[in-house]
Amino acid sequence: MLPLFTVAISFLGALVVGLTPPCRTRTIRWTALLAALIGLATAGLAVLQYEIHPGGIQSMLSLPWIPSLGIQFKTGVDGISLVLMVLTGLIAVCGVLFSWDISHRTNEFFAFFLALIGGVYGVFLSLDLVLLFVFYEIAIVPKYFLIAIWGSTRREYAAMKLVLYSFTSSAVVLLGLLALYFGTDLHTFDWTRLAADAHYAASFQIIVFPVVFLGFAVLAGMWPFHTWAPTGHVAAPTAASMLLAGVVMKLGAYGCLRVAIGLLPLGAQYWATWIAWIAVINIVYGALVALVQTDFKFVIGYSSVSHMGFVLLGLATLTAQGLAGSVLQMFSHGVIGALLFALVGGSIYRRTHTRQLGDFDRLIERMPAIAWLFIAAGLASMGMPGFSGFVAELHVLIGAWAQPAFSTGILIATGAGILATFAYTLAKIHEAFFRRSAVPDNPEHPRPEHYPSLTWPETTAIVILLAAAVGAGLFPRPLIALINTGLAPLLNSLAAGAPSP
Amino acid sequence: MMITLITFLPLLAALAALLLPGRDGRLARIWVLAGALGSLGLTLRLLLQFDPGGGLQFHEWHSWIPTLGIDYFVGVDGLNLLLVLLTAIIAPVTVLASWDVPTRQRTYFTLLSLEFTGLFGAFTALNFFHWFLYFELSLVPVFFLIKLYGGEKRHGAALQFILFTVLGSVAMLLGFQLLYFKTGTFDFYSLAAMASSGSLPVAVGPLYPWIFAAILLGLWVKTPLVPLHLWQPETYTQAPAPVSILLAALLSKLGVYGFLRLILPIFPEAVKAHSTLLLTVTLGTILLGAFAALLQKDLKKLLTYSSLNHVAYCILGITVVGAAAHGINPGAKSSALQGAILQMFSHGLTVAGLFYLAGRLEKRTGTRQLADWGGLKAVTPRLATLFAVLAFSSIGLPFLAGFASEFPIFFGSFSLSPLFTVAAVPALLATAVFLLTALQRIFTGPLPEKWKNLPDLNLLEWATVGPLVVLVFWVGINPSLWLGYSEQMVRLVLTNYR
Amino acid sequence: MNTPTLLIALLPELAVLLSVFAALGIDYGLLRHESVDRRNHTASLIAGSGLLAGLALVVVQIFWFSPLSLGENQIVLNSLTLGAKAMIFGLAYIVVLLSERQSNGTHVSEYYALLLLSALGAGFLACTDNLLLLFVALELMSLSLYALTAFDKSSSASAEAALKYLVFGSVSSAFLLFGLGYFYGATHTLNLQEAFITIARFTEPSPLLGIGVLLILVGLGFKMAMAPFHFWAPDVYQHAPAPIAGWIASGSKVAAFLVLVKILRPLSASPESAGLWTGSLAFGAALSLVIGNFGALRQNNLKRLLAYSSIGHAGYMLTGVLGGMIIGVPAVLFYVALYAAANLGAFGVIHIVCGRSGSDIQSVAGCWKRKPGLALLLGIYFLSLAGIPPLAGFVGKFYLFFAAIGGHPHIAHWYQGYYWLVGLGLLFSAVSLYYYLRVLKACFVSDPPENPTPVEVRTPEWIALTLLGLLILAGGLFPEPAIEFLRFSWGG
Repeated sequence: MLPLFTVAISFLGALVVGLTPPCRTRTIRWTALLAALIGLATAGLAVLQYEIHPGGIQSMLSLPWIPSLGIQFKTGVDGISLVLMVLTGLIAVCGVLFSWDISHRTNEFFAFFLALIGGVYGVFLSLDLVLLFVFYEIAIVPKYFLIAIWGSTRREYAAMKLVLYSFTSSAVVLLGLLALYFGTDLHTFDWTRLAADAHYAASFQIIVFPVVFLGFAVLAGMWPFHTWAPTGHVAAPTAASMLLAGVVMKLGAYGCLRVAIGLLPLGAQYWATWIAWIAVINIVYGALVALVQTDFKFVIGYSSVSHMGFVLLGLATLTAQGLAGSVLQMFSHGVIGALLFALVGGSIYRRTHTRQLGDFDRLIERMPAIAWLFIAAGLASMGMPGFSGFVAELHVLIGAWAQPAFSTGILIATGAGILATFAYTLAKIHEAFFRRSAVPDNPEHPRPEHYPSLTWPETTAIVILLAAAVGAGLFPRPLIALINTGLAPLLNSLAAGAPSP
Repeated sequence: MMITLITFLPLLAALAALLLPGRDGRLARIWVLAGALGSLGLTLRLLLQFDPGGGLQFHEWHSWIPTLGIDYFVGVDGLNLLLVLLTAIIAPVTVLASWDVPTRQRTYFTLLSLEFTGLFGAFTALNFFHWFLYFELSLVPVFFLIKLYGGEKRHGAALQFILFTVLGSVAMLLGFQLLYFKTGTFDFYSLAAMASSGSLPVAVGPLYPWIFAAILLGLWVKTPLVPLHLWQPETYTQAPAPVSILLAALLSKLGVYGFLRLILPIFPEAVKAHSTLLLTVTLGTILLGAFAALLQKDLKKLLTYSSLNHVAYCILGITVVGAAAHGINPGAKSSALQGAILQMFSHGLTVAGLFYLAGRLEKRTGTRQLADWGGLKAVTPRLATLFAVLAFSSIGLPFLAGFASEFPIFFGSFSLSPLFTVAAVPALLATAVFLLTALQRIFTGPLPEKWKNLPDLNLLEWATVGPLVVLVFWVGINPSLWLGYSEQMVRLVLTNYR
Repeated sequence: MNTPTLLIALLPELAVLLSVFAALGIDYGLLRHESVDRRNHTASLIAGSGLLAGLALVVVQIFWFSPLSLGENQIVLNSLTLGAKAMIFGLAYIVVLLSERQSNGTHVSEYYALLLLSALGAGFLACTDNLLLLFVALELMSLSLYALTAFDKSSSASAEAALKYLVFGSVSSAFLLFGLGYFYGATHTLNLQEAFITIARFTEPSPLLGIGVLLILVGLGFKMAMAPFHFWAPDVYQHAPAPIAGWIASGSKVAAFLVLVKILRPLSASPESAGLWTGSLAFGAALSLVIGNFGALRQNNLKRLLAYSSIGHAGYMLTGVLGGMIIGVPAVLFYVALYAAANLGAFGVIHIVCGRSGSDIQSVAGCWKRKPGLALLLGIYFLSLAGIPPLAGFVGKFYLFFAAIGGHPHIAHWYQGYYWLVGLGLLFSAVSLYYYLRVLKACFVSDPPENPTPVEVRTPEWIALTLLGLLILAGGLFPEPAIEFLRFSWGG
């Protein structure tokens, strides 16, 4: 019961904030922050309440919804959902903090933001496929408005592109869900039952798996359907980019894991190598494109595409370490991606009013605190040991070695990708913070010697995210234990194989 | 607890420096010096309590990420004791060398202290995960120190430094992941035990040479050895003097230590199989380092190439162990290896002193070009003397540290592979030539007008370089004490190399 | 049957008819010299009360006089048919409310009379299972609409649209009648329930029946705005007065689909007879999806956009019909009801905001600031049309696709069953989001124009639109009661 409270409080918060008149900005902000904090606290409590030893799905709630169609309102959590819910809570709080100074249509902004959060929590909690889909789609409309109303560069185009990609890919998913329902006689959309009892034929799985996986993977930013991500993230206002890159892309990956791989393990095994190679393309291509960007936010946008490649690679390994690494990377990149967008799109942009790397002049001297915080975030993003990214990538790569079907080429290409990641991160850090700008100072608006220092909401959010990245990097054991409880049934079904049709 | 304390004391000092830097960073340097001296004190205590015949001591073990066989396992044995000591000595030296940094002291000292933690950690870690963690993290403060305080071409130098090293590290990471997958452990001692019992090559299977190559690549770049040393000259030269000390004295030893801890105990088959290749590369590095130094006109670059050459002697002592024994002298292998271990220590001391004095010269005169100086012994006799002592140690004069460590190496290597040893001798001669020439160019001859008022060594500089010189003498006069620390471990490692 | 029972069965229709005469009579008799506005208000009041009375009587019939079947199913009263009639009257009432704003010219009462007659026809066809009566009721509904389309005498475009409507409509009615004739020839009965039994006994359906079915589909295709018989829709929707366009989009759509499912029921009595029409219907559905959605993409006029969108929705609904009688029809009925609500609501908002002036997309610009309540309602309607949860449109579409696949779930090749059609439908659902979002973009994202025309909303209109919105929300969140009702009342 408790985890469902996160969804309820988010939607309730959205309603309350939406109905408050826009001039009362202080009430609105604090209410939104309160809603986000309660959501995070609830997620944390749910983690503490969860018993690792029996494991499996706990806190189940099952209500009939549309029995005529086999749909129930069924929710519950296991380790994987809990990890991702905690991530959502963190990003929600930090997103609200980074939107502290929104003054245009404030009530609508926070209403859409909280509604999006509610939808995301709902996806992680759902045990019924259609319920999962419903929450997945509920999240689409707030995304559009957040970007179209409060965004920046080409916002209306970016918002439409993002929403159309999301909606089209979810339409593909729906087709897959219908196939999953009708492929068996269980007459239910409850994925826990389908995972345990459905036993789809191998030929069925091989056809349906790419449909479902592709539908979810587009939202995860899989090449070549990733182009919505950089455009959308750049155009979005800071809190929305944090949420989009941090959590919404993970919805797609979560769907791939739970629905595609969880219900169609034989299909997954058949297509694994293809997915692995596409994931490698994500990693390398994302890094190389990031290297040539001149807009700082685009660099972060493409780096998200690259990091999601690790998530996809981990999913493709279908081994215990690889899948655990994939979920770890979901958490890690969620935190780090949000942090990077917050620093670039929020802190730096607010002060310099530009995102063009060519305009930045020796920012390490003009805004040292922000520069060093970005450097720390950049180290985390590069996969430096001591941060969560390294632990995640270690698991993914060991999982890849453990998968006999993968050639060494995949690993060597990934290694090249890691090198490219170092290259672009260091190059962009140099361009942003250490280089003298070729663009001369505008005499009407000269660059100040020292930009204003960080405000308390900014500092709080950055500290929270950085602490999460370091904490998960140095003490990943609790996270890993949680994740493994969720992976256990999945690994069993992968090992077992399906009986003949 | 002792090792963890030694490692994290500089981290605490860094935090103190960050949060309480005092006016113009005055407090920052004091915090960091205190941290470095604290670690030095603890290390000395550790040294006194160390039992040379007692194997691994002061170890700490905590389960960390059990699902991947990762544990927090640290300890000292004969292989890394001297390195921990070296770090503990060089740390305060570096702080004192940075005492008069003009700007952004808070950032500087924080980064410096973080680097100390990284180095202590890397030398004491016995499980790949946090060994690699410190290995990688130790790149970061150096990178930023070079970028913020280095010479004109610092940005390119720093980037080259990191990218080359990361290339090697990524290969090493992939190799170790595969090794873990095949053997089920990241623990260095366990892997060495598996190698001794012969079960490691069996477990790993046909990819054994590739894993070896991957791990070797990481260390190849770090040490460095030709042809992957290309990052070194610019990096060492563009770095500010204290950072050059760190790089030359300590970071290069990370690579050598990697050979000692990762390659020798865990891959004896591969070392033996590829000993000729390794010896050739080592020889190439020795010769390149020495002869390139001959051509240098910039003192720092000269010292860099000289360092390349001297570190390669360590590798010589290590790789020669894999060469087939000719039955001339059964103790030859142990001699070579012990010499290599001592050479790490003595080279560290020597090169630290040399780079320090070179830095002081640069500070006084504003130039690094040998041609600009001359006859300085008239104005700075003490500096000249200390520089000469360190140079002679580097050349290999008896009763100084350099000889104490190079002699066992050459003795052993001549017994084990005379051809390579003889081929390396010209390097010794070249070293003598370029160092003596440098001494002559800087300190003898006519004194230009502008240098007539150069100050000699002040108290701070004495305090910084004095202990180094004393140690150089100590090691030179009583080498058996220092060689003795590694004897037991060397014997253990060499059991695979009969 | 005896006369009292007949009268009781027809009470709602009588109430409406009475109000037709009352409206006409009072307007011509008493209010000849009053202002147009006064006459408009009075007439709409009378028309409204007539519809409400009819609605109340239908509700009474549901509880006390059903199930009842008179004259060999010439009049069938059960909860489903009466429910449909109630819905139709309800929709008509909302149209009357909306029409009260502004009268279209001086022929005030004729307008309401025609509207009531159209509602009468639609309501009557809900309750009959006799072919001829179905046709008559359908014609009553349609003929009134042809006239109503032309009601704005000041617009020549209206006249042109009405003429198109009339010509197309008449030709398609001819086809329909012709087809019904062949149907009768093949089954020898006008009673659809008997026809079911007859067709079930055919070992192989006669060619006569096959031709008849095709002709019926042509005729009905027009009424449903199924491609390729959709050409009238864009012009009519755009140029008819907005409330009338709303009625065409909602009430007459419900009526058209009711006729379709009633006629298809006997035709699904056996798999062979089903084979007569499933292929053509699938083709029509696919074509409607394509033409409707691609057409809507390029529209800048709201009403025209809704016209093309209704062609697309006909495609979805036909996909549902293909799911078969047992699973498919309840889905279609569920969808058409909530679709009607959303569409009527949309036209209502358009009428309120744009009035008589052109209904370009930009005319709703900045609605979030001008009238946030209206903007929210418009958002609900359009998002329901797009199929976004948790609104009824999503549940409806999901149900339609579920039914389409559920009718034939196990396939060996990709072209068997209706996976391909559902896939097409899903794809076009995504395409449709683009144009619905364009409208919502203008409504929520764009800033209002420099001197926005003030928008006044009267209380009854608020109530009506909010009710429609709540219906859509309830249909999305708690659809089970409605779905169960439809399944059992249709199946039983």
